[in-house]
Amino acid sequence: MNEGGDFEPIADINRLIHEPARLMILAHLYVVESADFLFLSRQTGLTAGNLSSHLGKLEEAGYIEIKKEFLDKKPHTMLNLTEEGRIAFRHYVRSMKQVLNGLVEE
Amino acid sequence: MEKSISEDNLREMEQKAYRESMQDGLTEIFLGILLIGMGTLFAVKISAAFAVLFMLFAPRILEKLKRKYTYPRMGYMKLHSDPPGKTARGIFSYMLLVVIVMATVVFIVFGDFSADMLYRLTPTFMGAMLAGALTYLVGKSGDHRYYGIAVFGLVAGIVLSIYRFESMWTGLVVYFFLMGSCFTGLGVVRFSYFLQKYPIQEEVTDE
Repeated sequence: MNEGGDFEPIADINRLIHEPARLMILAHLYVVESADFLFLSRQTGLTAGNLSSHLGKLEEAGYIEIKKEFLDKKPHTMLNLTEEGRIAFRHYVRSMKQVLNGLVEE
Repeated sequence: MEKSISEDNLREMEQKAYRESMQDGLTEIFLGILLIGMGTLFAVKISAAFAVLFMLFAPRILEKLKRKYTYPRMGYMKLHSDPPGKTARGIFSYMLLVVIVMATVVFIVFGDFSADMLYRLTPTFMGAMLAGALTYLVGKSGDHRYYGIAVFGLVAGIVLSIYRFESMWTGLVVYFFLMGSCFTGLGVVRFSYFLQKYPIQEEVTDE
């Protein structure tokens, strides 16, 4: 890691995804085709407000798609990863592996 | 919460999601009803229309029940599904393998392969098919308890094939009723436990 070029993978890490809560959200959405708000809230352990805030940021980045609907007169939010989000997540995982492998080799 | 994301982590997450979706026991109940229905079909020689109607309506009824009882408690998620062609090819290949293995074993042991013997071996065939389906479920869910049911189903099939019933169909009928009752009972227990453990979470909202 002493040479300047070796820092490239670290600089390449997507900061939006690197935040633990958002990483959890994306990972859970990556393994399913779609999920609703309650499922994601249970899986990540995030509060409704916290989850909502992170979902907003991910939607803004174009990584997830949020569909709001009504089921039996109750609001229901469906979520899924966009193709852009899927690619970004894969890229993030690859970058992290490179960084960690680099650290271990050093 | 912070942990590295590897292929294994993602696989475990997918398996956990699948396990959670199966926690309600409704799938076991429906499988049990299907098996008991098949047993009844063979026992009283009713029309196969029951099986066709059940196959047609069961997924819709199951989805309605899940909407009423499961999703308000666990949330909804849809897993990535395998391409239908791949699933069909997998089932067909496995079925062919079971037939070849059974035919080889029967020929080696008895040196004969009559139609009567073929009928009597249907519980073993059903047990092997059920074991294959349950092994697939272990892979999807990571829940190794399905292996236990798979072994029980296979052993029950072999025992009912060996036992000399008067009618060649009796073994199969008993097998359907036995496994159907087991699955229905297991499903009812899991469903009751599920309703008690997970209350409806109406308060959770994203607004």
